[in-house]
Order: sequence, then C-alpha cells, then structure tokens
Amino acid sequence: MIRGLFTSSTGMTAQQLNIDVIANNLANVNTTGFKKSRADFQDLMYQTMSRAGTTSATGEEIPTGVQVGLGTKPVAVYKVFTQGNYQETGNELDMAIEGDGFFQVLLSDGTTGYSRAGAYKLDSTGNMVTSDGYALQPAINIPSDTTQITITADGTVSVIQAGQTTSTTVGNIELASFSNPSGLDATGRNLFRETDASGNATTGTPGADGLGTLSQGFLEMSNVTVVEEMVNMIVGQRAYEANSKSIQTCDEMLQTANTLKR
Amino acid sequence: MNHEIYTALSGALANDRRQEVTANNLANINSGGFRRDVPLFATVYDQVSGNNRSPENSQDVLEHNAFAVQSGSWIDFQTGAMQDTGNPLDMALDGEGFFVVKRATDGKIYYTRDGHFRLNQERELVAINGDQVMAAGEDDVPLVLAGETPGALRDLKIGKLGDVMVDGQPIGALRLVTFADLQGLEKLGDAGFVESSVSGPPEPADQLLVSQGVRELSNVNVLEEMVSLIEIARQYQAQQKVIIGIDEINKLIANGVSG
Repeated sequence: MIRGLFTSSTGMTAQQLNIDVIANNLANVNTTGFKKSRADFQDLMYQTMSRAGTTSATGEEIPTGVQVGLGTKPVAVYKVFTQGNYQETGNELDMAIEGDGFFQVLLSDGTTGYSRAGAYKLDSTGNMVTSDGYALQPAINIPSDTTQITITADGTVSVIQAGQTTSTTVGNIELASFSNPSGLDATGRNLFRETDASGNATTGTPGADGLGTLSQGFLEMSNVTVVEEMVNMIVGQRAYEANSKSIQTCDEMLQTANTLKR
Repeated sequence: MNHEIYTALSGALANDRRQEVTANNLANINSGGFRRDVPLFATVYDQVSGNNRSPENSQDVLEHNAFAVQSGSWIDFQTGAMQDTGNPLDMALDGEGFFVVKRATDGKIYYTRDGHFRLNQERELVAINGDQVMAAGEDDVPLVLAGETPGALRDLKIGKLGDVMVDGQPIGALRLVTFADLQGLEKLGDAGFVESSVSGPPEPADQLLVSQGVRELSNVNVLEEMVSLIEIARQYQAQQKVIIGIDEINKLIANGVSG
C-alpha cells in the first residue's frame, strides 16, 4: 500500500511533465518555425516476488510469476518535425522551407545554430540576419542600392540594383539536414544546436539530396495544432486525476488499517 | 485462540496488493505499449487439522483455515488503443507478438509492443530510450536504414509483414516474434518483456501485421481501474470489520476465562 502511494506519485509527476510540455506548445502556437514537443513515458521497473517457471514449495512449477510494477517514468521529450502551415507575408526577405532542412546562422560564440524560421532582416552593413541579429550562413550581403531581391527555390539570391536592368547574384543559401533531427537540442529563440544524438549537419543546395526548397515571401508557422494539444491536455489532466484517486484510495485504506487498533 | 483473524488478514493483504497493482496500471495510462497487470489469488488451506488439506475430504474435520494468497499475476495482452501519428517511424502491431530490441547497457535482448521508434546518429532504428531494434534473422543485428538521402524519411515504407523499403529498395525486415505462452513472460520495465522457461523461446510471428504511422497506446482502461479502486477500498473496510469482530469475540472469551 505504501508502495502504491509512491507508484501513483510517479504517475502524477509524469502527467505534470506532460502538461508542462503541452503548455509550452500552446504558448508557441504563433511562433514562426516552432516545432512542437511531445513527452514520452514508459513503465518504470518491477519488483519480482516469484518468477514464472520456478518451483513452488510443494514441487509444482509456477506458471505465472508475481511482479509488482513501481510506476512510470518520462523517457524522452522530443521535437516533432512535421511541416507547419505557410503564411504569405509578401516580405521579400521572408522564406519558408518546403520539406526537410534548416537554415544555418552564426551564433555569437562562433558555432552554428539551426532554424526553421525564415524571417530575415538586414543589418547596418546589409547582411541578412535573424530578428535576433544572428547572420545567415553562408553570409549574404545585399548592396545598399538594391531595388529588388529575388530568392529562387534552390536558394540563389539575386538583386537588381538602382539604374540597372539585369540582376546580379549575390549569394546562395544552403540548408542543413540531420540523420536524427529529433536529437537536436532546442535552445530557444527558434534555434537548434547539433548534438551527438542528432549527428553532424550535412549541408547542401535546397532541393537537392532530400532537402526542401525555398519559397520567398512566405513564413512557416508553428506546427502546433490547438485541437490536438487540447485533446492531449484533457488526456493528461484525466490521467493526473486518476492517479490522485489512487493515492486517495491508498490513504483511505491506511486510515482503515489504523482504526483496527482502538 | 482461533485463527480466523489471520484469514481476514490474508484478505486485507490481498487487497493491499491489488491496490499496488492498480496504482501501477494507472501510473502507466500514457506509457506506449504498456500491458496492464491483474493479480491472481488462490485459496490455501492450512494443515492444523491433519492431512485434510482440501474441503472435499474434510467432512469429519471441524477446523480448517483458509487463506487468500497471490498465486500469480496475469498480464492482459489485449491490444491497446491506436493513435494515428503520421510519423513514418511509428509502427503498431496487429496480432500477438513483439518487436525485438537490444538493451544498450548490457546487450540483453527484450521484446516490446511499443513501436515508437526513431533513428540514431548511425541511422539505426532505435526505441525511444535509444535501444537498437533488431533486424530479421538469427544474428542480433540492428536494422540500419542505410542508402537513404539525408532527412528524406518520407521514402521509408514498412510493409504489412515488417519488410522495410527505403527509396523503393528493400533493405531488410523487422524481426517479429511471439511465444508459446505469453503469460510466462516477465516484465522488465521500459515497455519490455523477457522470456522465461514457461513462455518458451521466441518463435517467428507469421500472423502479425505491421501498420506504419500508427502507435499503440497503453491498454489500461481508466473506468475499469477506478471501479477496482472503489471495490478494493470497500472490501478492505469489510475485512477490517471482520478483524474487529473477531477481536471482540476473543475479548469476550478472554474476559470470560479470566473472570
């Protein structure tokens, strides 16, 4: 019974984590390029009282063992990299990736960050940077007298400068992919970092080697679906409640046991 | 002294165990591929009254005490609810059987119903806890989704019988097994089972069908477990009343004898 109390508390702790993850998903329902997370649970361990196949005191083989489980544990909180919806913005520096792949940006510590968010701006020197000021890699510089920017599906950036009629290519955007994107480390600010689990980034031209293509003037929205999160929240809340009922029952029984001795 | 008080106690202890098992079932409502446990109890007669251990040949015996003891634990292998995830690495099994997984820490082979897989850095198919999923064949080799262009998981196809195609090319198959007696399996945690001498060795599962993009959830039914909880608490109370009642009788006897 005391064991049951702790077993149920693992259940409640697990559901708390589940709700925490759902809350973060819902908070980011309007975050460009956000990928939702999911918490995953497995049964903890078992205390084995008697093993199947062993012999009992009277010489018979025990057909089914006696095992008491000790609860549940969170085994992973992983990102779900499904495609988010597209939103047309008309902004010529906005890009959405249609398919797999990540933009690469140079972080302040010199390492590379990866992002699905394609809302770029220009800094004072004309470099394409994220809203946080991280420069797109490989760096692309837009001349100050540019009148029109064109980004093709394969990532070629070309500009038409004032007084000219032909366009000039100023750079190529490359995308990165990972063998296990779920293993990426989400650092906030729409950024991911590579880890041992994700593997090293493979870079390439958009559209090649299974990488997605770019769409100029569009942004990828969050892939959080409110209805799905609501359903998960209901399931999580009810599971939390069920475990609390189990604790209550346990408490009731302990009380019953205590009243045995008057 | 009479022994009935221990009979009532054995019943209370049995409900104690039922509560623990129900608590574990409820804690695992959201554990993918979890199979619920049902404790089994049997009546055992004590030997106070000589050799008559069963009620059939005990007509001439006035006293025998019965006790409830846990005789085993039944694992409910009924299929859990299916969730359509659309994730190409999620696989659910339709029928009796398991995926084969190798534990990373000690290389132990275990069996699971939770087909919520992903890829690791070496492009091996692994369970959510990182343990490798075994490919079909006698040797314990992981299933490697090689020959694939980076990130293009949409081209992964898992056939009904567990055959794996990447970019239209067959690259192997999942090892799917079943056992002669599923009730002989032992639980390991991590949604895993291991064989025992009762379950017999793993056998190839021919009747098993694999569905891609679907995940099997826990088979715990909250309603059922809630009803159990109420029943357990009430039975426990009844057993407590019996213990108190027997205690009253003992008190009367003791007081009568002493004066």
